[in-house]
Amino acid sequence: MRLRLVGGRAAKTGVAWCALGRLAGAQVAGIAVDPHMVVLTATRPSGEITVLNPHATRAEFSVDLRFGFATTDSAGKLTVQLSDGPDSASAAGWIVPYPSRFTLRAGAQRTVRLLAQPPSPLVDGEYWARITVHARDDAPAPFADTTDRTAARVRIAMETATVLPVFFRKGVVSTGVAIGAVTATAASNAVEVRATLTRNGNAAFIGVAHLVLRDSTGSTIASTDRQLAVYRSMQPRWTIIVPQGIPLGGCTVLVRLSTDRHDVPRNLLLQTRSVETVVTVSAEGAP
Amino acid sequence: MPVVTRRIWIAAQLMIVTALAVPAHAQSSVSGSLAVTAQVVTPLALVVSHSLDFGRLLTSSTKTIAPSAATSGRFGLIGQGGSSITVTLSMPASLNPTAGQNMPITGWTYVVSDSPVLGGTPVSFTSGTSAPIALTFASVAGSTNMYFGIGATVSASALAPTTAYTGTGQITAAYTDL
Repeated sequence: MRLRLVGGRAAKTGVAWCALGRLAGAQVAGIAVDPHMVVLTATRPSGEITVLNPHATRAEFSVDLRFGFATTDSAGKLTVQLSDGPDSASAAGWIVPYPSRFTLRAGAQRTVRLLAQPPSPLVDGEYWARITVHARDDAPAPFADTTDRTAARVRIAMETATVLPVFFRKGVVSTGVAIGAVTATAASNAVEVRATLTRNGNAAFIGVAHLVLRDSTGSTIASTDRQLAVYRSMQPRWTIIVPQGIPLGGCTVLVRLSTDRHDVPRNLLLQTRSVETVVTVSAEGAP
Repeated sequence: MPVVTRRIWIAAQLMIVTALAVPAHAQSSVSGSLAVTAQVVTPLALVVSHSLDFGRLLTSSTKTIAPSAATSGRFGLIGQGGSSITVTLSMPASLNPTAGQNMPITGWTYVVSDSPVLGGTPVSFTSGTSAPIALTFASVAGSTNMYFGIGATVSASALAPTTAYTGTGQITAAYTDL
């Protein structure tokens, strides 16, 4: 049998782009970027992203980098904190995109290369930035009727942007996560879980939280998985949906964090041992 | 000049490093059989399918477009099942005519759904940059979609010029689990 190997990345990109066809309707603006994370190292300081213009006409694109990382807000929702201030973990100042501005015709795609030029000396560890790719309509469609002088014509155009992480790893890097205080509170047909998580090592923990709700006999009532990234410390809030009518007295929640992520290539994912804890579900409003 | 020189040098470095990293394509044909494991991850895509369009607006009148209306601003997100993102909406407070006074735009609302039939309760947000809207794609294998609709209210005064008013909003999607 003769097998021809084509560029694996191009093939993957092509397959993934096909998903775009599932959004119906005439597209008037948009953006798609692949892959969803970039890892550079001291021995391989260059990488690339592919930018696609799904727009029906030509569009202008720009690429910039800022320091940022995933964290949680005061309500426990995942968010991305971007900053232009100095930070010892920032790679934003020394990773350069090329080109940083370009135009793409309808349906076209372009590779944007990223080159890390880290300062020297640089302490072993992982450094972070967020790439933002902006898209704007190069030639907005004119109003259909420009002769009508009896009424105003009003329209809002939309620009789009996506933000994705880029990592630079130097020397020996390791990760881990510690679970601090955890609460599990019964709510209406749900259990709200809040945990304090702190990263160990010198690199971000990219993983998943497995949450298992068990009754007093140890039988599983419900479970859910939530992907997360712990860069420093965070307090995520998770909701486990519970079937109606299930009593939650005496129930427990197992929280297990592992690096079992299926959306990140294994060669990019820093592995560490899983950690877990069990907490008893308390009634809503209980101390 | 130093800036130009530096940019050219960086571009050259990129080309060189990339060339070194490219595998030898002369060996791209092999004989035999092998097991191939491919990990296909859907890239995050954001596609606007409809601009927020108020159409014709008579002077001394107000028009509100609901976020689920056919003329609302509509966009969709495609992402990997189980991925978490935030969406931030940055919408204008006024619209610019070709000449004359700006027209205020208020009462911004959005709905988000996993169906293109945008049900659900509209959520209000102010012009400028909204608080990040935290979303998680349904935990299914492969890619999945989410749909947004955006609405607002415009008021044309008696003195508003009967001309074209345009504005630009920005939609930003960011990974929060990477």
